[in-house]
Amino acid sequence: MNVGDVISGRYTVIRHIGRGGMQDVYLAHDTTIDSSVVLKTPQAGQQDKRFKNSAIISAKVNHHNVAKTLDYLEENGKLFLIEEFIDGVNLDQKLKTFGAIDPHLAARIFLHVSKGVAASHHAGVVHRDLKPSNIMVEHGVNLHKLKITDFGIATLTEEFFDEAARDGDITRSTSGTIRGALPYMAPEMMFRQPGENPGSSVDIWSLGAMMFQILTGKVPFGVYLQAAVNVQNRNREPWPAFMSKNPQYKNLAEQLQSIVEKCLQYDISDRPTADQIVDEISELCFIGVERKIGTVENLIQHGYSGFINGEDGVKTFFSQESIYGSLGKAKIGTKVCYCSFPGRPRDRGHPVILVN
Amino acid sequence: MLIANRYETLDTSDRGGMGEILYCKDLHLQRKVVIKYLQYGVGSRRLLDEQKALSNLRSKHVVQLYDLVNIPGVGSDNPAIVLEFIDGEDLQVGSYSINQEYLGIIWQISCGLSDIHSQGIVHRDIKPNNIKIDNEGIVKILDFGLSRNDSEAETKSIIGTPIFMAPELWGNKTIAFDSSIDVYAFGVTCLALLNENPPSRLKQNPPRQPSWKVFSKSFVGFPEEITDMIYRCLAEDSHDRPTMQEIQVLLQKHLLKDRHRAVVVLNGTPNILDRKNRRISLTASVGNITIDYDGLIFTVTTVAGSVYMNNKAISAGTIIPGSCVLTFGDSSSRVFVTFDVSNPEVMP
Repeated sequence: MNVGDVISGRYTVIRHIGRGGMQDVYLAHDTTIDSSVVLKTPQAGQQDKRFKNSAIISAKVNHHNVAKTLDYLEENGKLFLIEEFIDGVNLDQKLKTFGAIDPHLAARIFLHVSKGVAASHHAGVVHRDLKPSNIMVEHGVNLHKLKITDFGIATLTEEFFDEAARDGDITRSTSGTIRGALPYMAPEMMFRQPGENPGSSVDIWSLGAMMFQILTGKVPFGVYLQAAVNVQNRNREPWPAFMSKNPQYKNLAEQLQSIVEKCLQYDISDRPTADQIVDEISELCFIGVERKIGTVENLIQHGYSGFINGEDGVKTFFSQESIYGSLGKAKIGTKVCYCSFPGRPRDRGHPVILVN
Repeated sequence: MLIANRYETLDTSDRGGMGEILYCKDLHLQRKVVIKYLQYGVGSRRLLDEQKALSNLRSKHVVQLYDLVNIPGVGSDNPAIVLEFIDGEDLQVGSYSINQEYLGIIWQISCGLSDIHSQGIVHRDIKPNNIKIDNEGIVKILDFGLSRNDSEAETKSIIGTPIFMAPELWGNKTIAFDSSIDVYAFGVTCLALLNENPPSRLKQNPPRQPSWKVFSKSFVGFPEEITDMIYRCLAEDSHDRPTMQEIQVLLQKHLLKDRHRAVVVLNGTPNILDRKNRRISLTASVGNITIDYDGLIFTVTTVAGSVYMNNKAISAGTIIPGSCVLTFGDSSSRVFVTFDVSNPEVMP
């Protein structure tokens, strides 16, 4: 595929934007509707039938927190899936920027992703590979327009990974896709026996694992194969002390922890459904004010507080106590992400998280 | 019939040709789609451009445009658009009462119209049966300017009557109209959802704004500022109508009624203010303050002595911004109290 290629007389390839475990991803221009779209095509060696099935399955889900499947084409023996384009990055890239995300913004992420998962479960579609890199967000720090994407290995509830099942222990898979999924993979998926067919519960575990990472900056069971060992031994990272150190965050942090704990239950009957999670998070109160980016300009009161020079040109006062995360205090020159509220002589920032 | 070699018409469709919609199965993605003919003529180019603009708007309340096709017809091909099929229910006239569900529905309609208007697009045909609720509870606004034609304006029952047409659209002369005609239709829609029998003044030609007394009867139990805003949607002078954006903000405010929570940290201990615990009084040697929650905002009700909010002087009536620090005292031995207001996200 080259830039400028036209697929089916309609989609012009603009540029290559990614390479997943199974497919190549391009930005394309839909000349019929005059819009930007994502064009996916399977990598050599992938089974065409499975690619087509994944397109049909993902097309069943219709929700604004899921990237829409727009078209599917076969041309000259090649297969193409056309999906909604989100001008942004994936959540994994965002997490690298933020480290841990404070409970207020995390609650919003949790709510939106859960809504998308609930809608797909209503349509009988289980994602099976939920992880931050499969969630697209708009540019900027507000993480708007969260959309789950890549139902590439999704399959109908009653179907399953037939190939992986025949190979036996999924944790011994050399597939990059499966290795990347392990930190978020439910135990019943990792250790399933041939013939077993885990359903929507696997997405709930993944949601819990992902939210653990968003709130703490760490995946709960480690990475790659280490995750499989730790999941089996029930050896999970503890909740870090910084989550509840500041009483301003403590209450919401504990509410979120309690939901994540339920998602990470080994017995699937103890896990909530996506609808139950949505109901619970819909009641949570959080600060949903727009966020800004700025740099700490100076510190006062023996470093206890200071001023942020916002990218919008507005200076904001902050207290070190408002800073959430594992990276400790802000220093002069530290980049921060914050909400801002009116004050004199300067506005006041809260919550504040450090940006790598 | 097979359209564009991929859309197969289903039995349920084709209720009589042009202007009607076709329910089809997209053979590529094995899902239902809706195909609508575009009328030929001066307007069709504009309609097509609007459909594209709407599609790029990506509002969750607007139906996705998938494709454009030509359907072979007698003499010439007919252009048509292929749209997302919405699995759900039409809004039913007279089927709602004043409650949270109703508030949520009209809020969602206002969000959709606000999105559309932000693109400079006027819907032109807002009425309950052009609005659907999908299986996920999301309001979808359908039929953008596609279905307005003379035959439709002549039907008689409340469903499909011209009752949703703003006064300035009546009469013979062609007039320029703007998004305020959608605001008018939104106002009538809000009323029609509650009441099958609209006030008689709305049925006049041209319609007149009902009296407040008659209008407000349908809204007993609703916050008066909302009823008032919906009433103003029906203003005969289009300049007197609110914008959809204003309506959206007001409805959202009321959807959050009694759902806020303030976390007040004093000496390291969080205290919660919410609908169950609506007042906090804080006293220090240098001053005192009382803050009350009325279900919508947190307001300073009494204050005495040296108490500051984010370093600003405060007085009774000061509204607490989302997040602030209250400071007691001026000297080095100041006491700080954090006050953080939060709320659930209003989401369909």
